[in-house]
Amino acid sequence: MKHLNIWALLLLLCLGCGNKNKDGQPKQIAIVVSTLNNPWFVFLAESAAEKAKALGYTSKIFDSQNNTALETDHFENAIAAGYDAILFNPTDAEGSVVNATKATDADIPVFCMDREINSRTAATSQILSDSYAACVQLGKLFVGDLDRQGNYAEILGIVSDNNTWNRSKGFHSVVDNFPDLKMVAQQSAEFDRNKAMEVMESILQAHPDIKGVFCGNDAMAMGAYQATVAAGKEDQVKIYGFDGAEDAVNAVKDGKINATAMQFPKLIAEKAATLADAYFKGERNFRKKLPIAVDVVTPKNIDQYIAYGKKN
Amino acid sequence: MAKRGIKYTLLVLVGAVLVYNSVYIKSLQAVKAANKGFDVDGYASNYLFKTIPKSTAAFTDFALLRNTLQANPSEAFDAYSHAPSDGDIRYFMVNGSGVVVSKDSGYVWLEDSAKQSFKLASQYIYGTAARDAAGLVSVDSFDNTMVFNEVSEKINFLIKKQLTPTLQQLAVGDSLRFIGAIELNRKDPVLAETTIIPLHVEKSQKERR
Repeated sequence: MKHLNIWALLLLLCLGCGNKNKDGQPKQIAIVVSTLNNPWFVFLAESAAEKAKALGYTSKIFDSQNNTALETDHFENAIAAGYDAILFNPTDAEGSVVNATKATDADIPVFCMDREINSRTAATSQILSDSYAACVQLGKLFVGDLDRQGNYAEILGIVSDNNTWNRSKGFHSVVDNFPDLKMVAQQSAEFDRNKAMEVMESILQAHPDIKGVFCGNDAMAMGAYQATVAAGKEDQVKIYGFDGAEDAVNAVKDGKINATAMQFPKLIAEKAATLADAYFKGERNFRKKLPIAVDVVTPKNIDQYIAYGKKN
Repeated sequence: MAKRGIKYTLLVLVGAVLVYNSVYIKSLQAVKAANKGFDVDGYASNYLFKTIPKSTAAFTDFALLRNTLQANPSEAFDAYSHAPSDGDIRYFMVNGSGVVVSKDSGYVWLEDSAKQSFKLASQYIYGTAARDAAGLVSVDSFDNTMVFNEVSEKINFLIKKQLTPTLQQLAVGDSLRFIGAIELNRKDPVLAETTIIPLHVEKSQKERR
């Protein structure tokens, strides 16, 4: 009989997985982020945690290390541990849909931050930078800076992330109108600074005459800059990034790179936490996709910006 | 013996529950298929050639917009602009008319009855103004933003293919009625420097000025 009770207790525990906190306890928010190997995502996660705390909730940050399987583990753990909401920066537009769906099916709201998942139903709401429109602006700038002619290269982010393609397509929607601007290389460096440096080194060896490089994020832009310095071509190659990270903002100020696009991660993170708060208070009517405007930052307007945002 | 039977039954039951709650299988193909069914070409064509000409309520008279921007820029943006996000870049759908006063490789310059000049794009059609200016296309209607942006590119493609040849054939002195989309920055709304992306153009009787 004693053994029977133990087994029954175990069974009840298993069936009880996913239960929310008891009334009176602070709600828990899981912040699942694609990678903490990039300062931009660290800032995003910490901003979300700060806002959650300010709203009276506890939170924990989970690093998926750009690995969808690890992200799945985090979701399993968050559901099992009874987290009340998940602020989610996905690793993969397609592969992460299942994870968000799993949480939603367990009645845990999911608010995507910055990166998109390809579903209107898997997440409660998705707060996304309008990467495409920003890269149209960057494309216009690029065309003007290169005087509509010359060879150039593009360094892409993670190919399974929609941001990678929204940025690339926005850029090309402008630049491809000018036939004398020729893209001689297009390679992925997976949003990684070191990989971008290696990619740029090989691009410069194969195409020493390039006049510009468009990079899908700031980490890659800084890696590309390091490669141009090593090759002695920092004055020849114009570099464009995307994010508004601290080192890139400083690099624009110092004339090392030509432009970046400010994504406002604090705004995105705070919005996600605020929506979670609204959900806890009974709101159920959320916009499925909530684009956040992105500003192009150049030496002309750099005085208006600081790392990750605008000056107050 | 009976105890052992119960023990194994419970073990199997617990194992089954654990496995059921641990494994979630969903075909990636099924997820991808959900996005591939959307007819971008048909949507863009319907928007440009059927929805826009019928949506006169969404248009702002170009002269009225100019006057309102001069008198009260904030009111002009609040009353007449649209955008999918809440940044400084906003879009306006306008209608108006003018007489061609000059042309170059990328633009047709017109002058309206108030002798104010402005330009229509006749070569380079890009950006999201054509999709966003009327406020009729919502990102919430799309499974992902890539499709939403493909719609914009397809609308631009149709404009370039079917409308810009008319603009390129215009001669100085020709009169034109148009529906067009413009992009303005709330911080620095300079209408004279903006480019109108044409969504509908109609050459009217030629009148040399």
